[in-house]
Amino acid sequence: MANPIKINELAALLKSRRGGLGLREAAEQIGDVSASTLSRIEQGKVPDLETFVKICRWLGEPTERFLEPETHTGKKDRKNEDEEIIMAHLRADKLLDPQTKTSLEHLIRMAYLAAKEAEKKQGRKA
Amino acid sequence: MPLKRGFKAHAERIALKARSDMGLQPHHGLHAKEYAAFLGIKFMPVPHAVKDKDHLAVLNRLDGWSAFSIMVGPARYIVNNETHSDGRQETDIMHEISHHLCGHQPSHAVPLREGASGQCRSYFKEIEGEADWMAGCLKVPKAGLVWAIQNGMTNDEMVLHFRSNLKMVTFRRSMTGVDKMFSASRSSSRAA
Repeated sequence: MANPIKINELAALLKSRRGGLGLREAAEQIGDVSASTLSRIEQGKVPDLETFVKICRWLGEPTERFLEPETHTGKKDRKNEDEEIIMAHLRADKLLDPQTKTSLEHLIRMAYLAAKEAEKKQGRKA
Repeated sequence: MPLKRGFKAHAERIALKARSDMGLQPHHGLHAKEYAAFLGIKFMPVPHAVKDKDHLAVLNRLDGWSAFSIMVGPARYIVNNETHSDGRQETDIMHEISHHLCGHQPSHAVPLREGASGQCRSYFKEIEGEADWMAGCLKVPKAGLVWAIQNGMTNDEMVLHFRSNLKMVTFRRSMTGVDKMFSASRSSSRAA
C-alpha cells in the first residue's frame, strides 16, 4: 500500500527547521517524542500518526501539506466507498439530541458528496 | 485546559501576519470569509448540499451546531450555520480557519453510508482551546484593541470595526489586559 505521508518533504523540513538545535532539545520542544525517533524520521522512517501531528504542530505547518493526495484506483475503491469515513472538525453543542445528530451527519455526508463533485468538475476544467 | 507555552504569543503573531498578508494594517478588521478565500478555503452553503426541502427546514431550525469543516483531497470546505447572527458566524468561521492554521487533525468520524452512526474518535480539549483562542486573536487582535482604546472607541464601535460581537470584544479586552495597561499608564502619568 502506498505511503500516505510525503516523508522526504517532512524529513527535509524537519532537518532544516531544527537547524543548529540538537535532536534532544528539538524532541523536548515537540513533546513526547524521543531524540532517536526524531533521528529516524529525518532519515526517512514514517512516524506514527500521533508523532506526525506533533511534528507538524511544532513546524507550524498543516498536516495536509505532507499528505499524499487521494488517487482513484478503479473498481476496488468503489467497493470501499461504502466504508468511507468522512473526518470533520465539528463546532456544535457537546450533547446533541438524536434527531440533531442524525440531521447533522446527513448534512456532513451531503456536503462531502457535493464538495467531491465540485472538485471533480474543477479537475476536469484544469 | 491551559494552552501550551508560547501559544498565545504565537496566535497574536498569526493575527498580525494574516493582516499583513491581506495588505491590512495591524488594527484593521479581518473578515472571516475573505481570509478563508485568501487561504484557499471554500464554502458550501447548506442549501447547495441539501436539496430536500423538508430536510432543509429541519436544519434551518437547528441551533445546536455552528460550523464544520471537511477535506476533500487537498481542498478544505467549511459549512456554517447561516441562521446565526453575523458576529457569531464570523467567530465560528474563524474557529474553523484556526483548526487549519494550527494543523489540527479532525476528530469527528462520519461514515459515508447513510444509516451508520458517526462518533467522536478523540476529543482533544487542547485543540478546541487552541482554535478558540486563535479565532479570538484573528477577530480582535491585541494590537487592534490598543489602537481602538487609544482612539476612544466604545465596545459597540469595536464590534462594528472588528466585525465581531460584544461577547468577543469584552472577552478579548479582559484576556489581553489592555484596560489594565492603559489604567497603569494613566496612573504613572499622574504620579510623574
